[in-house]
Amino acid sequence: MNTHHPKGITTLSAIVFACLLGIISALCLILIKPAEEKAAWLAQKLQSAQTRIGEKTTPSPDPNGHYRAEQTEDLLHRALSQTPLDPALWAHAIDFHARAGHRQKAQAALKIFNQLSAREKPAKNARGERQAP
Amino acid sequence: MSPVPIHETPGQRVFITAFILTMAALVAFPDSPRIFGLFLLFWAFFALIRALWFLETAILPENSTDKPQRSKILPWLILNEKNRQRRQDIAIAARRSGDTALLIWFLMGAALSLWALYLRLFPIFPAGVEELLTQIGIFLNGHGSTRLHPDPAGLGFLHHFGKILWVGLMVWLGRSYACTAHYSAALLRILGVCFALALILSALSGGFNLWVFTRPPHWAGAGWGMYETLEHMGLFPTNPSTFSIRAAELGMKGMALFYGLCLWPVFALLKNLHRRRRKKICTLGAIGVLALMALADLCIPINPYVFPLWLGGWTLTSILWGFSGPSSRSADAGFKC
Repeated sequence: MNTHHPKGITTLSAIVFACLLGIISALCLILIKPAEEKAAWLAQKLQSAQTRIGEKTTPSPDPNGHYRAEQTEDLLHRALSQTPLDPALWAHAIDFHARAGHRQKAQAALKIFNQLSAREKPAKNARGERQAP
Repeated sequence: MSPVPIHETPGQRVFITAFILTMAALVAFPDSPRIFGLFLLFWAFFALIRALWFLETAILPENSTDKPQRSKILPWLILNEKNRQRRQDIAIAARRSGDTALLIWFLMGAALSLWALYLRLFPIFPAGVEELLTQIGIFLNGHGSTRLHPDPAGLGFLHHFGKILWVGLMVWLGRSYACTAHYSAALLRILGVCFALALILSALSGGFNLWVFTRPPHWAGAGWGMYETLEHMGLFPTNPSTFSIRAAELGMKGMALFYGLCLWPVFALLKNLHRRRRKKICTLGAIGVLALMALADLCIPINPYVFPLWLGGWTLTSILWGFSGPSSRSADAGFKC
C-alpha cells in the first residue's frame, strides 16, 4: 500500500473545507432575513398579538405590508403598556428598543414587564406555596 | 517557450475580471449582506473548483505508481511526456501556493474564528447590557438560566466569519496564480489601483484622524457583530476606529489572535529579503501594503469601505507574497493554468 503523503495536500484539503464553509455562510447570508426587516416582522407579530387581545385601533400597514416608524413605535408602546404578551415577543420588543438606541424605553418596558409578571404570578404564602389570585 | 505574463492566460483573466467586478460591487453596495453573500458564494465556488483541480490533476495521481506505456509510438510518447511534465508543473505550483506558512496562517484564522464562535455562544457584555439580558432571562425562565442574545439570527457573526473566510480564500487564490505564472507588473498595477481607490474612499468616507482609538467598554469581548448593539445602548461612542471595535468585540485574546494573523505573513516574508532585487522589492511591497492596512485600521473611523480595503490589500499582498518566493520551473517555462 502506498503511504506517501504528498506535500501541499494538507493545505489544499484545508482550502476545500474553507470553501465549503464559505458556501454555507454565503447561502445563510443570502437566505436569512436581514436585520432591517426585523422591525416590520416585529410589528406584524405585535399586530397579531393585539388583535388577539381585542385591540380595535390597530394601525394598518401600507400597501407593501410595511409600517411607518411612528406606527411601529405606537404599536410597541401600546403593546408594552397594556397587556402582557407572549414572553418571546416581549424580549424582542425590549431588544428592539435597545437596538433602536432607546435605552430608557427599553428599561421602562422591562420595568412594566416585571410589574405585569409580578401581578400575574400569585404571591407565595409562608409555606412557599402559590396562593390563588 | 517565452514566459507568459500572469494576465494573459484565460483562468487568470477570469480571476482579475471577477476581482475588479467584486470590488466595484462592494463599493457600490457596501451595506448589503445579500450582495456580500452572492460574491462570497462565487469566490468560494471559484476557489473550490481550483483547489479540486489542483488535487485531481497534480497531487492525487502521484499517489499511484506510473502506469506502463501503452504504446511505443513516438507521437504518443511525446504527448505522454508533455502531459507528465504538465502534471509535475501543476504539482510544483500547488505545493508552492499551499506551503507550510500558508497552512499555519489558515490555522491561525481557524483559531480566531473558533474564539469568535466561543464569544458568540458565551458573550461577555458590559454591565448595562448584561443586567438587561439577565432580567429578561429571569422572567422567561423563572431562574435566570435562559441566555438571550441580541443577535438571534447570528447574521453579525456570519458576516464577520464570511469576511475572514473570503480574505483567506483570496490570499490562497492570489498566491496560487502568482506561483503558476511569470511576474506581471500589469497585474500588480491593477490590484494596486484597486487597493489605492479603496484606501482613498475609506479615508474620505471615514475621515482620516491621526488617532481615533476609543477605549472599549470592556476588554473581555462581546462577540462579532455586537458593536451596533453596544452603540445603540449608549455604551460605545460613535465613529470609533475598526481597531477599537475589534477590541470591544473580540477582547484581548481575540486581538492577539487577529494581529497574530496579520503579522505572520510579515515573518514568512522576511526570509525572502535575501533574494534577488525584484523579489526583494515584492517582499518590501507586501510588507508596505500590510503596514498601510494597519495604519488605516488605527486612523480611519469605521466606514462602509473598510472591507473592500481589506480585500484589495490582502489580495495584493498575496500576489506579492507569491512573486517574492523562489522561482518554479513552471514559471520559467511559461506554464499556463
